[in-house]
Amino acid sequence: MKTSKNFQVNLSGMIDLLSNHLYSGPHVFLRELLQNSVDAIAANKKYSKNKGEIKIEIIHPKGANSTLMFEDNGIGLTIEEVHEFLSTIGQSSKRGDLEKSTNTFIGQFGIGLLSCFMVSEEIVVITKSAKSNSNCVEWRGKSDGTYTTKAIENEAKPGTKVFLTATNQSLEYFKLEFIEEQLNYFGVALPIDITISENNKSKKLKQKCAPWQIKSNSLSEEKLAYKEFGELIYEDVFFDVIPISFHNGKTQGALYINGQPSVISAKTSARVYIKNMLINESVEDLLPEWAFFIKAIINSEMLKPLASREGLYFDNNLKKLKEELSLSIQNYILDLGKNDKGKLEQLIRLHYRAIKAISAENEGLCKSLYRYLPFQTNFGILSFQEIKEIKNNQIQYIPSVDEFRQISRVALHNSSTIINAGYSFDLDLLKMIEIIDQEIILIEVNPMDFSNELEELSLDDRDASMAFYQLACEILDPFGISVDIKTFNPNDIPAIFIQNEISSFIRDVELTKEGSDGLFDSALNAHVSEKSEFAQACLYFNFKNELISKMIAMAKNKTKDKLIKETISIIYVQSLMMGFYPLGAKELKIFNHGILNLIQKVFQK
Amino acid sequence: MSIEEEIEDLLDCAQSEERGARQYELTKKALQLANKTKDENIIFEVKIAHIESTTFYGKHDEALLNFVWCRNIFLKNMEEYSEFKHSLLWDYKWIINNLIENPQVSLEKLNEVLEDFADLSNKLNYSKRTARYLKFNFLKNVLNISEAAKFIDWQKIKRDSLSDCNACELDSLIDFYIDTNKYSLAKKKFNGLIKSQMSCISVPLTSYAYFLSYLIEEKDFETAEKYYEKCHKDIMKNPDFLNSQGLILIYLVAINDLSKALKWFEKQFTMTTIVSSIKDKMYFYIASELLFKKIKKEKAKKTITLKLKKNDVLSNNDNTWDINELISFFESKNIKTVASFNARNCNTGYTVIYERFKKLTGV
Repeated sequence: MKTSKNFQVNLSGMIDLLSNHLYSGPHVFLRELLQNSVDAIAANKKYSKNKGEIKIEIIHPKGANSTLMFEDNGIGLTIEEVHEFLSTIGQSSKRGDLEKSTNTFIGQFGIGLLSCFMVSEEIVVITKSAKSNSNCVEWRGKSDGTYTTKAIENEAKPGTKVFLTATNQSLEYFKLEFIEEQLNYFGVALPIDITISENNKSKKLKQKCAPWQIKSNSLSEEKLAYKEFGELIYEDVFFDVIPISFHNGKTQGALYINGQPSVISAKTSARVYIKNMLINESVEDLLPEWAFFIKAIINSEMLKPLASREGLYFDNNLKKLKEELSLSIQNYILDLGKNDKGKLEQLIRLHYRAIKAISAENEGLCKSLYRYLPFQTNFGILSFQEIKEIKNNQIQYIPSVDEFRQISRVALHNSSTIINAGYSFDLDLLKMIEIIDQEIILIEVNPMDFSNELEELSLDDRDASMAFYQLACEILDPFGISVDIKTFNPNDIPAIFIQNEISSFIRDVELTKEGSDGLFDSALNAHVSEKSEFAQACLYFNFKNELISKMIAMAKNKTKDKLIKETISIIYVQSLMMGFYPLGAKELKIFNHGILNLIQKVFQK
Repeated sequence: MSIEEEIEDLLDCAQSEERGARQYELTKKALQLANKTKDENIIFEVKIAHIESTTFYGKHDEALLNFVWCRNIFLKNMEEYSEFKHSLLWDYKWIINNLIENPQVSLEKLNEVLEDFADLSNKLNYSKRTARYLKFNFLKNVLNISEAAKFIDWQKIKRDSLSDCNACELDSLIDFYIDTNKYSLAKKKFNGLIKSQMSCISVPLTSYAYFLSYLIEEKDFETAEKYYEKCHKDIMKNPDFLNSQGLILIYLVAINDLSKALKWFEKQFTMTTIVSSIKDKMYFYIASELLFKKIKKEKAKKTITLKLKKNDVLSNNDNTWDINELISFFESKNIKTVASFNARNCNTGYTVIYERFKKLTGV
């Protein structure tokens, strides 16, 4: 037989759970009190035309019984409402249900007041409803789950006072500076006067009228208001500000483009207010992942907070907002492309890494922007349009920074414009451009291919340089390096070293083995032997270079072979150094030997 | 942005990426920049990150090269690099597993490396559990099952931060039960693993693929299909799962779904050009050999068209292939690799596996 039973609730445990584990820390009790007051003031608009006010007083600030009074002139509660809403955990939307106007409130969980148990053993509420004939009521709640109420005969005005006495561990949260800081943090944009007093001295909090509360006459006025607000909040200067408005004006705010380059791994961050109350200053997943160069400040009536009010509930409104934000950024960039190319170029210079990251994934944006995007080439940084024009649509690129370095100097003098596509996003971006721009032909160049473009010697020159070639082979064979003699510019380069990735791996293996205890040598050798037939490494001597041509002539005459060999060793190691390759012990040895011998010969003369 | 910041940025990006090509590219770029700094500390840190991304992108050769460098530096200055001791030993576990998959690394060398791991982990105050677990797996992998049984006591030693995850450890035991002809126990343990929802990046994903051939032998086609559906989509993305990709291909050939098998081959073949593990490659090549033999047998075809992505191993101009040529390409490689594993392992274990797959697929 089925039996139906109710869950048993451990009341004090429940209060402990809600007050001590739902929130990120005890400090949030001030936000919760503030939120309750804001809601009560909003609900009171129906009954009173008085301006909403919140007063906070610290009583016995330095004593053990440090007490805080939090007062508002909002709608207040009747005795029935006190029983129903203050004393029933889980009762939703205390004033929302009351007024059937959920849009006015964010206090929808009926648990905010419980956060006060994080700092006080007892919560005392004295409240008088704005509705006619209501008595003033005192409610005393304790963290063990018990409460009392009593009617108070007095002529108090409608509103609510909350009294909290600090526990010994919570005295720091009852200090003037702390309270002021917290109220400023959460309530800076609230259109309600907040006064805080201690020892009969009062001060009004300096609130900032948020830009979404200002009626602007023009876009530039609106931008200026958002700019000033953003600079105040972030204490930073921005490249540009983009005001935004979604959900029929119920979500407003601005996107702020950083004035300094941002790192790719930086997390996107948005500061979100719901109905003017700060929810979180760094909501991470609101802006698209690639928008790491942008910040956002948003105030919305459409988003819902989580129970802790420290994050956002994922619903259709949030989903839509995320899409709209992404589109707004893209449209802003596209718009600059159409209307303000100078500014677009500035933006690209500042945030090219981010813009490349977006463009590599977004065909539409890439289509509009790719011509302006900068790439590193052997002729320096050029825009894609410049490269396209120089290369007549035949775009050559090298996918690795190291390989690019091997040939960039020689390529420069051989009039080949080659893109270094070894940086983040560049290769993905080039592939995307290839899809978009049907005119271009993308050609991957590897250094070995490039060496084929170096000019071959005539048959006579070939014969003339054969003796030198043999000497060079003698020196370089033990290093697994092949030798060739070609003609290339600039003349002052005696030789260039070019290798493929496999050869580079093998070189790295040799260098690593030099510093090791040998335990892994055979395992490393196994990988080398598997690959070695595909390794290519060559030292190309420049026939046009004065030193090389002299050596070729000397070698042909069979004079000074020893000197030539030593010079070849030095040139080999020097080419490695020019290419920033790490040197092995053997290479250092021949280099030192060669240099010392040369110096000795100079002094002997 | 300074070069150090750029490196940090690349590593952060790599960390947020899934294991695979993109992560590998990012750590590789970070390493290129780190090498430019000539700062040993920076290079060390980046190499540690690169070892992980290379391992899980199937580039075991690069992983080894960078690991050997880091180990050299670490041994020379353990105090300075003490914060990396855990990362280094964790990487060492991957390196050992990778070495076993290369038949050119002798048993003596593998034992020497395992001893070195045991000494180093002991010196750095870790328990003996991982060293014995690695030895157990090594012996299992070289198909010396009776010796492996002597090291099963790794389970009795208390876990520490160097221990593999629970899912991996259980998976290793399941393999062992299969190898020791305790198939029903293995199945029971595997069902327990699934029910307990224990999982990591590879388990139970690759375990599903591992069970496929046994399920076919049992003629439990229904469970096999269920397992295939559960694993194939995630296995196909990761080059480090090439072995499992081979097992899935064998399954498709065995159930005679040749069009699906051919499509799988076309999609996954380029992975063999990325991955450096000879064992993983062998599994895929054996599966490929059996696929083309089955097509030849069932369809009596002489040629076949293949839509292969550009690669250095199999390429021609018109995408049409002589089936006999394909078979002989794969068969010759398989015979050679099986023989080299057998020679290294001093047994005929891989011939048995090769023959078992032939029988399973009916070729």
